[in-house]
Amino acid sequence: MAGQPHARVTHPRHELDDLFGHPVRFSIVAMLAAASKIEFSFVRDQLEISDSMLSKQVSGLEQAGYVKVDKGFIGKRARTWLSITRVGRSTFERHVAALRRIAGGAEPVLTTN
Amino acid sequence: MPKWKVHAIVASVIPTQQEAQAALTEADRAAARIRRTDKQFGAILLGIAAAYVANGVLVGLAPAVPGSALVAILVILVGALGGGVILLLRIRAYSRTGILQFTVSCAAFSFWNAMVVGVSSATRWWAPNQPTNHFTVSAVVAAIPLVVAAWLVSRTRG
Repeated sequence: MAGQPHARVTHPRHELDDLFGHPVRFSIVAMLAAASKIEFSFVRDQLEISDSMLSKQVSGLEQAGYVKVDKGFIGKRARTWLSITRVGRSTFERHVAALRRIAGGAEPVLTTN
Repeated sequence: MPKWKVHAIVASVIPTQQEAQAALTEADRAAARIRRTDKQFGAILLGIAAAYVANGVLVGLAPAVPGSALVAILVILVGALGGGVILLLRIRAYSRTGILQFTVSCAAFSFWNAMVVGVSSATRWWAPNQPTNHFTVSAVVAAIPLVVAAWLVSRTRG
């Protein structure tokens, strides 16, 4: 009703992104968030996953606009580089901030506006 | 029941406090994996410093061994350049901090080196009547920012 205060709840889970709920996707984005760019095989080796698994997860993140994939050659060797987009970074930062609040035992805040 | 509790029940995946903590730990671990690759930037900076000082030593010795010193200088320069390029190509992850530190270090070295050259010439520290080992001393002084930067970049962080 107009003129009446409208109750609104804020809980950290609202800031969580479902895409980062998958542990492998979360680890991929966590690595990319700390980097400028990373070679595909480096991520694969560090996370101890298969090429196909990494491709699948990166594809999902790329479709969401969170990750950018660049392919190039050094000599005759093909190399694939992964980097996080600006949207991906800000979404991940929000996600991590929400995790911090949850880990810190944040209670939902009831606000009126 | 408060609205947020209803939402919590409906939502499929909401991490518990422990799960959230575990995810944060994993994020820190992932970032640390990237930062460890910065040590390779440190190796490159140290390589440049070593090549620079070695050339300074050779220039200082040049009057005693003229021909071989020139060849050695060229070998060091080509070796340092080749080694640096190979190391750069082998780096598989670039941390944003690492790149920034590397770039700033190279810029600081260029600036400091120009200062050392300028001061050495202006004060006649480098002059035909001066001992040639002055070049060696200047090279060592000029390489200081590279050594400091290599140490800073190579420090284990996280």
